Amino acid sequence: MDKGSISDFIRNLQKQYTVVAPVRRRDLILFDELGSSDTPTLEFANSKLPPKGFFFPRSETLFRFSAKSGKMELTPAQTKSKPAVLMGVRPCDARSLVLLDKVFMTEKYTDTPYSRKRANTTVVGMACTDPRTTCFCGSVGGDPFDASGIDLLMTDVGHGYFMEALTQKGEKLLPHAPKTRSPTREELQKQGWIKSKARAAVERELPVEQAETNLENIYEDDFWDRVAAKCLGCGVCTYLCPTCHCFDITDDILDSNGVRVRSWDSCVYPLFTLQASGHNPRKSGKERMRQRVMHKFNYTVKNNDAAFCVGCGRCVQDCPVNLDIREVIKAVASQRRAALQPKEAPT
Amino acid sequence: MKNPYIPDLATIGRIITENEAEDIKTFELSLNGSELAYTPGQFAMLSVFGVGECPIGIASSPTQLDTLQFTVKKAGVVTAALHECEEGATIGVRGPYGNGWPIRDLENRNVVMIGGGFAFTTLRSLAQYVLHSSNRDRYRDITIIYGARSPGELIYKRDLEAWSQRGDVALTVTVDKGDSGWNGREGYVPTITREVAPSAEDATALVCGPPIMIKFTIPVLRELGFSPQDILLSLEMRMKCGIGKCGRCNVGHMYVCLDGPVFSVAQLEELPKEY
Repeated sequence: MDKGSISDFIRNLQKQYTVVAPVRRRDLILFDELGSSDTPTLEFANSKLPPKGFFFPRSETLFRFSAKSGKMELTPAQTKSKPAVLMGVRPCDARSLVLLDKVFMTEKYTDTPYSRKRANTTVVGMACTDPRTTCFCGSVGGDPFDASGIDLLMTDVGHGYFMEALTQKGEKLLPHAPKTRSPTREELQKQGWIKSKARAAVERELPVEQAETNLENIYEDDFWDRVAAKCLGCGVCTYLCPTCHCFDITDDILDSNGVRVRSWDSCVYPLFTLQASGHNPRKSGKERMRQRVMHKFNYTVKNNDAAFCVGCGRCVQDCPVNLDIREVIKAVASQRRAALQPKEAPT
Repeated sequence: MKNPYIPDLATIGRIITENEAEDIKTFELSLNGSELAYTPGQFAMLSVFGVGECPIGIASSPTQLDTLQFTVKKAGVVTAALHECEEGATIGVRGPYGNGWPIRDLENRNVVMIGGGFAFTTLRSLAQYVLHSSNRDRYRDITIIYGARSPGELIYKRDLEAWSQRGDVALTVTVDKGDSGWNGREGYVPTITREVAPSAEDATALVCGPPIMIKFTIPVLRELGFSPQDILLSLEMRMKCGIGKCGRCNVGHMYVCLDGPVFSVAQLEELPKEY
């Protein structure tokens, strides 16, 4: 599809779908619903916030309650019925949705606010042609052209987009794309060249697979004191993380009406696990830092068969004290080697 | 599909103040049209609308068909609001959640229940269950050791009285320090457990109490010959969802809401000490 046709593509889609795509808001690239004359910003490294918020919003009403003449009534929150297209999703972020599905859509308990939106949404991926220096999807099982979680994959090849339908949902979008044609041999060559250049640019060597065992070996190590000493506990890493999904549930009231709301929460906050008795099982920064790293690279591997990190690098880019998860993973490996080495006999 | 976060409505019936300090109350609930099919040791999320939600162990037994009870100590924001509720008030209940006590595995075994203070609630559920006429012959010797700080802090006094009249349960009640009207035992639960010395043979011990009591009771049970597999504890953690999503009640890779709250000491030995 020619780049010039993107507006028509979106107008066509908007007849049937709500279209959510990256847009520029001041100096930030964020996902937002497009209006009837908006065009998305499709030339970007990645959005400031991951698109997880579309399925799992920062704050979301679960239900309303009201006490009418002393009688309590609960009303479920309305969920939008119009199907949606989530466009311009980088492969790392699309993979995060597959991981979040493992938490929110289990056999025993399906999180309906999340799963309704997932079922109702078609994900249009945008292959990553120019990864950032902080990108390490290749180390966590991803790839700049990874298809997981994507229904239709678009690749920017300069003058136009390659459009590859990967699922039935994705195929349904193709008829809405105007003036599409088969790629020429030169264009295919160019796509191949773009792919290998992007793949070469992402960090692939982090010892992530060994992290599960490495972490267990250094669980009690004072290594965690040293890592935590730097952390301010601001939580920005968890808010920007496409796989972080911890939440709080609270009530808001006005007169006799109220809402029960779920909002993003963060394991790096001291109140997160504080009990009513005053006891706190993760009482200092050390336990909380360890929890965050263990949860991503050990607990989820045990429970969900996958590390909950997609290598997007957002936490690396925006940490105010430059705590770098890549460095932590490397340090965990060398720390473990040190821990396993026999201690020198005192002389 | 039902939204798992929407509670069922329930009406508070009888409210029983359990202790002298009046900060432990048992609430009898009747569900408005729904059912809660639970087993002893499970918990539910209770809602006071406008204040919030918190996890509370179920204190009644499924054999008590006509009642659903929760014993609540006034500790945080939601429990304080519950204590303000009067008979007839509407609250929310969702659940039951968690694994509960292993009532099937306990069959044909000797069951030793050791409780301290207000944490006795889900053991009381289990006691009611195993002592019920329809279940009693499926369990062998039943021993209950229960202690509180003072006579006024003993909860479920009517149950303790009823059990003491039965010939098929070995009940020992103790207080840390008695008062002028107290004729019973004095002493901490771990000490009394050593004195009572329940046999470890074909037995499972279930322990619920304040952390300090648990800490000193486990070594006593180990001395008596109980293996780590046969000592069960029920953990408490801060929770929001109760269904393994909100990410805060984990101990290592286990979620207290899904994999617990009942864990064996053997299981806990494999997990980080973050509880």
